Amino acid sequence: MLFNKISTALMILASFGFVACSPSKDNVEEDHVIGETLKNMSALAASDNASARSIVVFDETVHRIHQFDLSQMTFVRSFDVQNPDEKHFVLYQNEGNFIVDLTTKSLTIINKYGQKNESPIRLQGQPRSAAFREDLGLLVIYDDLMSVGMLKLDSNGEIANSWIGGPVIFANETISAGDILDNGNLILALSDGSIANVDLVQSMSQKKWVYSRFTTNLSEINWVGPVPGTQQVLLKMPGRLALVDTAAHSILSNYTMNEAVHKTSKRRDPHVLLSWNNDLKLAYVQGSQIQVRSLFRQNYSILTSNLDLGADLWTVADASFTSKVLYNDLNEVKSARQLKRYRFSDMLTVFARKIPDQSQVQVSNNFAFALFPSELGYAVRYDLSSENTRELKLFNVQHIGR
Amino acid sequence: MKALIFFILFLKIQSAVASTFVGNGGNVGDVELQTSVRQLRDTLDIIRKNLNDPEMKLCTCYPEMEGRPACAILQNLNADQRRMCVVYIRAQADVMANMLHANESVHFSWTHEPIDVSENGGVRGADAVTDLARKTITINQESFVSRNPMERLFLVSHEIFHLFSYEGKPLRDEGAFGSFKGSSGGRDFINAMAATIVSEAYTDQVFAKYAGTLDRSQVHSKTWLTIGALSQNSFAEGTYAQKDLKGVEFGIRYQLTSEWGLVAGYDSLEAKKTILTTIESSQKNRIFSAGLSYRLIPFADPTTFWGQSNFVVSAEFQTLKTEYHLKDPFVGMDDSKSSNGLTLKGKYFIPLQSGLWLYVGVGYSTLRYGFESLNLDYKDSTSYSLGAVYAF
Repeated sequence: MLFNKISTALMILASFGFVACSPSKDNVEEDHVIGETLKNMSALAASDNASARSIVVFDETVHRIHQFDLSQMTFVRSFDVQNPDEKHFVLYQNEGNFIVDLTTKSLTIINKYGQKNESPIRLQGQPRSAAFREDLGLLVIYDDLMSVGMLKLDSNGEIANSWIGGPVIFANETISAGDILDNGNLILALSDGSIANVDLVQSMSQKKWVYSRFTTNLSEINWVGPVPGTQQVLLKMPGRLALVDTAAHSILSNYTMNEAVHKTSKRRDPHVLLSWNNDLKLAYVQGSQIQVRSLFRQNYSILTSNLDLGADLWTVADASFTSKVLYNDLNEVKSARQLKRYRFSDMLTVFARKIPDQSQVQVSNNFAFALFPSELGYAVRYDLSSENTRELKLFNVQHIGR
Repeated sequence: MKALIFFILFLKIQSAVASTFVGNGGNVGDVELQTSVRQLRDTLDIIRKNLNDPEMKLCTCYPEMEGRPACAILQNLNADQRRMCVVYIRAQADVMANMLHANESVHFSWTHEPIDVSENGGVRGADAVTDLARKTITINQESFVSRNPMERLFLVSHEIFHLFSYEGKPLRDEGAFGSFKGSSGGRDFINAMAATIVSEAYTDQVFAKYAGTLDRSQVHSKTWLTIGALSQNSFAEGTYAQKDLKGVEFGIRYQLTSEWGLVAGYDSLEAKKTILTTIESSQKNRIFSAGLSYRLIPFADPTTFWGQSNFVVSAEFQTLKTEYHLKDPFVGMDDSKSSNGLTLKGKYFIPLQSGLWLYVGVGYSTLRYGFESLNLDYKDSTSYSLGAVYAF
């Protein structure tokens, strides 16, 4: 009995990193998904488009979806939702001004005119992850029964085509992980370590998997991170990272991971944060090679990570050390959070600010948007390039008074 | 709207019931006069009932009356005068009592002017005068009210006796009557009988019986100061509507006549509530009003509790200032508005003592206002009040 108690205590302490021993178990929450888990999508749901005008957020206080004009910091429109007591994960397409509202129970598309299309496809399981390419109008939803729902949305948010496929792509091999490339193809890592390059548009048209496949010497691929502007993907598997060119069907670079995986992120450039004792290592792709940078680790837990090599920016949200095991949800804890931005080339800190407690935050390239749990409505926009802030108040008043 | 209809009907009904005859309590002194008449009547009833009681000694000063003016009058009577007094009262008690029980037999009227009477070739001042032919007794109001209850009973008794005769000769102040000799024998005779009435009334607790009546607050007061609790129910819909406001009302009324008056008032009302889980909503209304009032005294006998109670209806112009506050732990908003309207009010006043009253009231207001930022519109409202008054 005493031994069990001590063992349990040591295990808990080990998960906090207090005990120096062999690497702790990888963060498996983000493994074996297509795209990103819904929690991660919510945390980084703001558009990466530098010219993004609007932000859409699910207000957990009044259970409504709000759209704000980020540049003017004005309230644009608001919608009630199905399943208001569920957590909603909201995606937004800037150009078409349409909204995708996902919960573990429902999918709703709200077009630019505010018209709702509820449950346009019916998955038998609960949505677990999604890949959304707003620029291409492609949405792929992966549920906990390994079904893949795919939709093609036009510029108004109307559904042009859709299809649901099962996880068996080739012979007896099933989907292990995947994501959408810049060319609109869905890259799927299969259970045998092979890679399937799926033509989503044709698959939806022909109502079957339309793909090409190539084999690798990789196995147990559990995470796929597309490299922007290329047809390369960063793959993770136990103890190893590999960079694969899906067009050339070749492995470009490898990295053997002796460290524990602290965090994976596909925003904007795919990267993996590794931890070992007090070290933090950042593995990323540059020049068609896996690069690894060692950093002195602050005693914080990283909530979200956004690496934009093109802009030379690395944006991180972290929290003071807590007793919770944290995944990729910026809003999983709502206190003692900090937002930091580095000039990636020399790791100069260009922005560091405490994130207001209790707020629901979304981060884009230029702004951090904090929505407070105010029933009357209160939000603050923080300009990440300056100290400027702007407030918006009382936007829930008209919705309550009905 | 229902309250408004009720008041219109009430006015129609009560206009057929209310009395405007002097002594209905609407004038100063009405209660004192009615009380004195009843004290006289009750005393005469006791006398005629106990005519055979050997303990009743008329025209005699009882020990408990020692030191009082009535006692001095009786102590100055000689044996013949006392005998004459006793015989006359015993003979007339029944007739006088019956006359007083028939309410319309004697008429009273007030005057504010000094009363002069001719007597023995001269003129003297008096507090009252009796017109035998018209059976009317005219009394100087200020003088009468300023007297104590014994003095008032003495005065009324004296004047009532002027309506009777001795050996076929009307009882007057001047001239001799039987054992009461001299030019003012009549007055001495009547005063002896009036003193007897006062003495008997005192001994038989008649004054005590009417003490409450005289202490009771009286409707003839000119100025009425009111303070009360007020509840207002508004016709409004929506999450932010504060339908039930509660507070306090202050008012002042000045009676120009027994019926018509001027009113002014100030109401302060407030309501709070929680919306959803954290939003605190509050509204404050401040209302100033002024207008005309009309008073109805529905019950005729001013010596009774009901006889002093009265209804007052008023039509008032109102001006409103209202503030609305919304707040949650992060943000808040304030808004204010003004509006004008009319209100109809009805109040029922219940007398207590020493100028104090209680009242209950209802009202209907046409004040309308709204807060556009909240999509909130208030239409008409009804109100209910309960309070206290000091009238003087």
